[in-house]
Amino acid sequence: MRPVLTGDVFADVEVPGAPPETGLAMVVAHPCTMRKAGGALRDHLAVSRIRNYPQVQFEQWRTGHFRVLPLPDLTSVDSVAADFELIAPVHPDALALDRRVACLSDYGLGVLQQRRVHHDTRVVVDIDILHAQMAPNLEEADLLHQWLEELVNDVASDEEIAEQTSRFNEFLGPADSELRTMLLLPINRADVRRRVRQEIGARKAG
Amino acid sequence: MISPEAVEPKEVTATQSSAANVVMVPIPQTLSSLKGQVADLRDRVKETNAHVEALDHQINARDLERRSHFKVREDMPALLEQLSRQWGMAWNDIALCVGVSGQAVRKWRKGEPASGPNRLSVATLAAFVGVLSELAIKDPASWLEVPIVSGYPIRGLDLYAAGRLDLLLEWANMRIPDGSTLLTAFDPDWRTTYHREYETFVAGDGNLSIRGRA
Repeated sequence: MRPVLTGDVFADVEVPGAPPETGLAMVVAHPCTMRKAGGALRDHLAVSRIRNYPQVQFEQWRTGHFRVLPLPDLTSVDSVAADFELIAPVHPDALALDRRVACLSDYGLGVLQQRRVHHDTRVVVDIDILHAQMAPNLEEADLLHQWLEELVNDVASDEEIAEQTSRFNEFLGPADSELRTMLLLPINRADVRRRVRQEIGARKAG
Repeated sequence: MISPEAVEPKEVTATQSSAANVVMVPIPQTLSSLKGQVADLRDRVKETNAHVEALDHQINARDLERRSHFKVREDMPALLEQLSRQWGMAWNDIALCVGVSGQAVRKWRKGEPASGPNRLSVATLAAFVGVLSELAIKDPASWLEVPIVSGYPIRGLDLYAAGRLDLLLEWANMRIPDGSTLLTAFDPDWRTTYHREYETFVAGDGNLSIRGRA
């Protein structure tokens, strides 16, 4: 039920130009570039091939292996990593929820962004700054998740999920709406959460 | 009591007592003895202040403990409902304060059982937010979520997660003059530890972006 988000790992994804290897791929598109105005996923989403990769000890994360995000606990058998040199766009149909096998925590998302920015630019940005930048989008995704959990009756119905996603986006309003603008600042976010949760309660009761 | 006229040395022959229970301090004969006596008084006041402050901390901690034990009688979904719907806390912020994953909090919300210590931790958070609201903090979730000093990422939530509820209560009670003093009490090296080369800003498309700090 959790909406597709950066850091999600999907099985059986064909990544153009990348070897099949594990068949796993991680969404690496930035959270604020993933969705269209109505809330639907964009037609092209950047994913990174997850491939077999030697185990990286934690103390080595800072000193090398910069082209990958090691994923030590993703599989119980192999040691794997998301490879930033094997990134390509895929259609959202390739990212069906029933093929999602893992999600990153918020902290993990920060690590992903930090390593990817460093790989692409050699600039190191603190994880909390990356988080502060992503916070409005992560907040929105979290509220959408709760909206879907509480208002979708048939979890297997893609149509119902799409319908409720659309209603959620209608409630939040367009990009420059009051609620979305409020999400930009930490001081306003609790108020937005209260209003969305009250709306969920009202819709459930209605 | 020290007479204001006693700043210049002069001979004093006697002090008076009265029926009222007033502490009488002999007026000293010289400025140097006056200085010594005032310094002694300051030390005593400082010591008394420290004792009263420690007592205040103890009482606040006891009060929170008592409230938590009342709260823990409520079921977990009800406690989480208060924190989320009434106060507007984010699930991940609740998880941070309790010391578990966001996924664990979501499971509790759906009625999955939590361990005793985790129930108590959630009850303590709910009690703590209640105390903040009684201290005229209108929106405790926002209060905890906003950086304490502009330009540094550390928030009340981080102090809570580090177990420094005592400092947060002092701050909420306005017994700490400013955010810098609060952070110094939390981490004397905070200006170095939490110094950041970058900052966020609202870009032309209305989304946040990152740039080097000016």
